[in-house]
Amino acid sequence: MKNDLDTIYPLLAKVGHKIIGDRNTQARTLWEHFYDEDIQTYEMNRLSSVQEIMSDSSISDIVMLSEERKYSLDYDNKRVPREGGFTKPHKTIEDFLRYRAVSNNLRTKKNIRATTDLVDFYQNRAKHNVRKRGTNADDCIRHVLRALVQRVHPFSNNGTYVELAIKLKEFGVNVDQLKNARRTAFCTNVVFNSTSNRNLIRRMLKALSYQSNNNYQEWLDLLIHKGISNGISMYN
Amino acid sequence: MMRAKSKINYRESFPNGEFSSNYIENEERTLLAAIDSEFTNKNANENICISWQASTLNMITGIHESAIKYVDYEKEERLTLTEVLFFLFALGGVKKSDINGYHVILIAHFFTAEFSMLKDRETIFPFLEILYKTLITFNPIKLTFNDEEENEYNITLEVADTMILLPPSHRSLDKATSLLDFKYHKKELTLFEKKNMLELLHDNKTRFEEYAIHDAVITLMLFIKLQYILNSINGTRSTRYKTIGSATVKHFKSFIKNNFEKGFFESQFSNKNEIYQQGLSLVKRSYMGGLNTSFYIGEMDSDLFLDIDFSSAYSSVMGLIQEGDYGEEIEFTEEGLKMIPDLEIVKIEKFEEKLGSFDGTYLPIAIADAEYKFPDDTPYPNLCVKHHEYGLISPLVGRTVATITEIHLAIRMGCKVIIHDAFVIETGEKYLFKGHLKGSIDARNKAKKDGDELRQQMFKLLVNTLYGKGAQGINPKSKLDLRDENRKSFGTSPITQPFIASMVTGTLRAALSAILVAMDELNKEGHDYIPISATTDGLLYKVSSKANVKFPDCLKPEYRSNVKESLEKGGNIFGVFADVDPILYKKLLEFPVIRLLQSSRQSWGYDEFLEIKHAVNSVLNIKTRGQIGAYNEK
Repeated sequence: MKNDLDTIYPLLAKVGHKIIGDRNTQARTLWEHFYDEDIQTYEMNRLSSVQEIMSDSSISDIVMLSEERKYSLDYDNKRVPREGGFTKPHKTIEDFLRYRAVSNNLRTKKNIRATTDLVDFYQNRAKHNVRKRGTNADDCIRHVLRALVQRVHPFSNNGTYVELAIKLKEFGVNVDQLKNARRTAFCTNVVFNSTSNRNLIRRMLKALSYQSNNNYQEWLDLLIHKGISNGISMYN
Repeated sequence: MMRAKSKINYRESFPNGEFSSNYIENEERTLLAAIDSEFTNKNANENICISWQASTLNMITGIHESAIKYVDYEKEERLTLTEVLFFLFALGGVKKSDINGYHVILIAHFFTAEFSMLKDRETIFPFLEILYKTLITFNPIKLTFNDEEENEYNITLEVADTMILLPPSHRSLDKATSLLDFKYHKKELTLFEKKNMLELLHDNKTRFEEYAIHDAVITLMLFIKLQYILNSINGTRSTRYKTIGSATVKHFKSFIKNNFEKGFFESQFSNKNEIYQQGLSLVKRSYMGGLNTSFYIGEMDSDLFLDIDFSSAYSSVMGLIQEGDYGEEIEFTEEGLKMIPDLEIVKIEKFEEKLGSFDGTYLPIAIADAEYKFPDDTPYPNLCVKHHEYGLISPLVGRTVATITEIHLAIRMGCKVIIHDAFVIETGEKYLFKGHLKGSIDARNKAKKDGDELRQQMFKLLVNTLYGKGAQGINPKSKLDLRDENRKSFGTSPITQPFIASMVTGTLRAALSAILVAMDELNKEGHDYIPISATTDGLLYKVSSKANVKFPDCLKPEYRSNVKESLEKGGNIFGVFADVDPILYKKLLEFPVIRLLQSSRQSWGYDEFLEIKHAVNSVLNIKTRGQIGAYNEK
């Protein structure tokens, strides 16, 4: 439904936000901010508290204080987000805590919105104990190399470490990296789904002389995080 | 000091003898003093006091006076508590020589504001308690102060706040006094005038004084009226109530005293009872909050979404609680709980027996420590695991302490349950809360019929507060202690009863989960119900398209002609749930826990146990407690 002025909003639960305006205005504000790409803030007024008045702070009376509050409109992950906006229960409380920790980390440390896709991506990595070192490209290359040297289908035998290092020289790959890539078990779908990562993978595959008539879809399906949402994420 | 010119006709304004309930026999010399102050902003962090207003009622002479006292705001003068007290005594007609031994009840509406205007507020601060962001005293303070000639005076002082005696919907002075006679309604000022009180004083002193003094007068009137109503509700003559919680406890205790045998209250509520103590540690673990979960993320359009609530949810379940055998009182020694005799070992079999026979005809008081596993494809597992920070989570696998109603529902869903420990309280014939709640609900309905809005609101508040007092202090919850500047735990109330609180919340969670399970079972038969979000006692869901309900059908016939206008106005506009969504309603009655709620409501003379709160045709679900429901005439 279009969020327009002809619409009325008989039902409004504000997740604790204190927004200015009548019910319809408040509903429209929240509805719009649900689709923010970044975390937005708003000014909230409140009266000073007894504790503040009696403490050593500069506030010495009942005064109206204006505070900047973040819009908190990301899902709470009490259930597992699935495609189409639907959810399913967590298997265990530990699963919930993993989702929640990722969500908190995105919001508070990275200061970005904890979208269902991002939370799913990072929790999946956390579940498989996959840590990120270096840049996004370094991370992507590391997982390609693991799949390559461990010959995970559709990767096949492409030669010795030296031969591979020569083919992948333009990506900064050396023999030591290839040897290390054999030591850690490969995990599927832990590479962040971005244009640059997809292009990087395709260029590496071309350098390795792989050919494809569907733009290397099988390799991307193996490596790239698939995401869960289709049209319901906050980033539409 | 400028005295108020107008006098108030008490007999006419309070024809029921409201003042008599404010006389307390043993209090010889009492001064009721409503106070208020006017101030203006000095800067973002500080105010400048302009004046103090007071309205006093001397309980010896019956003299009522109201006045305003200006301070030298240009010098940023503030009054000390002593100066305020001398102002009040002078106004109340008390000579200095008579002050000793007086009992002053300082009444404000949001006392924090007046407190902050005092020059020496630090002196009284340690004696006050913070409650709902304001300050009151629970017990009188013995106060000694001197005048300019160094004469010493000794009085007792109490601080009361009318704000915390009111329902949340009426906590502003404006709304609160709208429940009184018109002449005691708050006078209006423009927003500009309110923000520029000093300018108002300069431009229109009469208007300033009328407004300012009137606030003190109506605060006094409100206090008197509230005390009268609470006394008349409780059958007390002259109790002075400080909080609605204390009134609720008194109300309930007096019902028990008048309707049950001697010692009955202690048999049900004493934490010294033997069986009570035996089950306490387990039952505390089973006491969890309400079920609050979102099942969908984002926008959805449909012909009809309904937001339904269990009618008077907490009261309905409390009405099902029967007297329990909590054992005899134990003699406590210094060793405390260690000396509790090692009584009969808890029988899991007893729990399983109750579980097997649970059919929704009565509510057993039974809980169990259960390890559980739902089938992998269960969409709405109902057993909850509590996380100290994030509340209740319902995973497919876990271990929890749950009530019999929850475990019964879980088993219906094919959940495998291993009981590790259990506790059952044997119940008797008598219902603990039913009569009391029915009396309150009937009285509320009568007040509504009589057009007595204040009394109606107070009965509603008393009923709603009862559960909270029963659950107070079960889980540690801290508040600021003004005496040592640390936080301390909220204590229990005289009617705190963890077995009852646990059964009430657990049964409500089970009832809410039963709606989800009912939808899932109907979906397996070809329907397409979609739950959106559950919030403690209600659920927002998409009505099945196969139910063939058109949007206007959810409204009462008289509201169907202009749906948008009706929804905008709100109020009691919706039809009976059983008629609007008969498919779901019929399915729900298959669940014993739902039948229990139905029977509770029926015993009070109501057919409905679920009611429609909102209806929309588009939703945006964000997360728990974050829903927007929209209506657009497509």
